[in-house]
Amino acid sequence: MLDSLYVIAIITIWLSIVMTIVTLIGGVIFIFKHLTHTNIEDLPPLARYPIVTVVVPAHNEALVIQDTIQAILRLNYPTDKLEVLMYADNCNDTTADEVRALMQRPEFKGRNLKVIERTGTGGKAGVLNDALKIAAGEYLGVYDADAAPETNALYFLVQKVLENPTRYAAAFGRNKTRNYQQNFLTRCINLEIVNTQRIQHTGLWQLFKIGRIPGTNFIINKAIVKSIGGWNNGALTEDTAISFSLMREGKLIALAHRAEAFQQEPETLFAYYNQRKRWARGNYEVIMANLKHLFDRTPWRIKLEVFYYVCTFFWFNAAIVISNAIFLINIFLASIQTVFPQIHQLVALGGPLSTLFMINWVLMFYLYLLQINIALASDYGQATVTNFIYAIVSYFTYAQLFIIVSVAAMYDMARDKLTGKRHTQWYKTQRF
Amino acid sequence: MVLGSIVGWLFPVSLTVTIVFGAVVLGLSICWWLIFKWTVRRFNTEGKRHAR
Repeated sequence: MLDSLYVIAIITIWLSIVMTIVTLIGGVIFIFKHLTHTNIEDLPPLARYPIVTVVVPAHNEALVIQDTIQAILRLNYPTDKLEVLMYADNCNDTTADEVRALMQRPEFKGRNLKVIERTGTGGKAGVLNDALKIAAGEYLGVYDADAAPETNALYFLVQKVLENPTRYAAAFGRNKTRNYQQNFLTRCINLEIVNTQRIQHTGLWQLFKIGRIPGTNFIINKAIVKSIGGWNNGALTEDTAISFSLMREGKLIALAHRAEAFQQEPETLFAYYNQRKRWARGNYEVIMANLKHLFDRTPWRIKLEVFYYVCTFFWFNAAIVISNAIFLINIFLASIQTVFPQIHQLVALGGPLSTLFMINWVLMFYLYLLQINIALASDYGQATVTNFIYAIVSYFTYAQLFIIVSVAAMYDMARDKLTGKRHTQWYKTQRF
Repeated sequence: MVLGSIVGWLFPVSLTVTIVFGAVVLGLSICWWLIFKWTVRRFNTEGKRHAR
């Protein structure tokens, strides 16, 4: 029994190391291929400028909405090709008024910007489906209310989809943390975001041409979205859901790595916990809905994505929880052993095996540091001694938070399945 | 319970796989150094240009 548990444990460790190494190799190749400098002051004109409707779903976002709308209106894109729809979705603050005040400024007079006060259901997906009906653009661009795009973000997104308009149904850019110097939590979130954007996204795109639509800073072909029935109303993670839908149709979601937006991340544990639990819960639902595609005739990218998600969210998580539980029980038994010598530890590894396990753990820890530091080195101003120290500390602190979040999300999902009721509510991320 | 009596083939296989992982990680470490060297040089050049 314990022999087979050992085999399962070692295979789990190896598989997670292999997945990390493969993605990291892809990310490193991508970084090497894109080390050349882009002179953003002298960008060549695009082959054509399709009309883009930028949609900004906003629910009580008075605190941040002006900055975001200003950044959108200052995008380096012909003004007659840019339509902006700002949805004040079930707001009970001054979000809509803030944007109307902005429209009165001389510099923004005559711009194609509409403020729509919405009272419908469906959350962000509902807003995007509403926009789908009235948007004039060939492409829909989406920016969350806290995500201010960099001036050339839309230019780079459009440039990417135009490389292969029939195959690339969407293009997504990178999001940067604008409040990362706020506290320990935002520092750690920043490390995670830099790593996700610069290793995970680039690695998967470089090796497999797999992209995932993030919640913000992306454009998507309107006709294709309409053909797949739009967004899944009320989905907790509408971005993951539509990514799977597009890939099922054989379309690609292209990475436009130079398109950058600056977004605000949670500054308190409470806000972080609720945001991440919603993401985890939403992703679980999408994985469960797509699990059947592991064994049917859908494109291989879907299978690879489902496999990746199943491993990360279910298999590896379960392994970490079990190993942590065994570790704690062992410590408890070891302390009892001092009083009652006849009591044995649950699992005690003999000489060479324990060394091997330790080497694998050190390897995994080193790989974690390596991955973060390669990502940091490729980002302007991020390869600092402070970030290096945060990277070490985050392994033992911030990274462990994910276990709590995923277990809580799993519990929520199981409870909802058993009771037949949906207890998980859409939680709006608090702004600061 | 001591896990010393694990099936005979497992230890040599585990050792081999670990050595391969170690070699790959070493290669990636060299890549880290190269990326760091090149980007620091490039970012410094950009920084000086912006400062002008």
